[in-house]
Amino acid sequence: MKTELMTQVTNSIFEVMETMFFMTLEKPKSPPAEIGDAQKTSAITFSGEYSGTIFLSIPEGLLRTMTENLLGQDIDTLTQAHVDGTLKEALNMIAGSALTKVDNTAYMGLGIPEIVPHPEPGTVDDTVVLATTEGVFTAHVRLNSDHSDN
Amino acid sequence: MTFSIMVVDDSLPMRGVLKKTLRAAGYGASEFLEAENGNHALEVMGQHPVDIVITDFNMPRMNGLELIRAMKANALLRKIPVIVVSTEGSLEKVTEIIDEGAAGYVKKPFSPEQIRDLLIELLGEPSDEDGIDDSGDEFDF
Repeated sequence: MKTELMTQVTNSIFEVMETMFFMTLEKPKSPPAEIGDAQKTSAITFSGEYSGTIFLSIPEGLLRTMTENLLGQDIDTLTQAHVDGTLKEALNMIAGSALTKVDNTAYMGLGIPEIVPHPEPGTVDDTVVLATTEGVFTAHVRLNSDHSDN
Repeated sequence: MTFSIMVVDDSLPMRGVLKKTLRAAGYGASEFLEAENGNHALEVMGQHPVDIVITDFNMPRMNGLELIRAMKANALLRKIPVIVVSTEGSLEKVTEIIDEGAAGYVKKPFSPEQIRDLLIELLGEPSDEDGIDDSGDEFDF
């Protein structure tokens, strides 16, 4: 389950970033030694046949560009609530799309996305690193209880 | 003819995206009303006539499905068409949304064309007056 969910999270990130934020992504050939720039993280829980949490961590600069692209307005006219809301809405769309791609016949309840501290290393089951021309960002999946095997 | 369009979503930027999409679809002269959840939307609709509601599904306090049920139980609101725009994509949930009386369903992420096509189906083509758009939006319809 972990592998399938991470695959669909990755596919959904590509879809959401291109459709809603007009950004083209790529997978870095090798993971960066460290992801610079201050990151902001959102988390959303899901429950149903299996349950867990999906995290999305995006550098502040890239997040501001995403907010501008989403709303078609210059960042100077927008507030921190717009920026935080953009991160939460991006994760909401990614999570909903990914869970539907895994199984669209199973009902999975989604929580309300929240801004959270970045997850500590070792507390997540899988991570994907993706890049735009404006920065590198990560998504993480944490499955609850006995669903974290492949 | 211009319209009064209610946008219901707990996400501030998503309400902005929907309004931008509506303007780009030619409904720029319409009046836009906003609410953060179903409860808030019912309060606003109690004070203001609305032609169509575009709502998220997953919201705190009162979600989109509960909003539809409350509107169907209210003689003054039951005929207002409701479009649900949501990340909810399971067949079971979409079927439930339509069975409860939603006039349409659009899955996020969405294209502007999906919203436009549903609005034309439910409200009719925007008039020239509606098409006035000074927002600078760049959707190419």
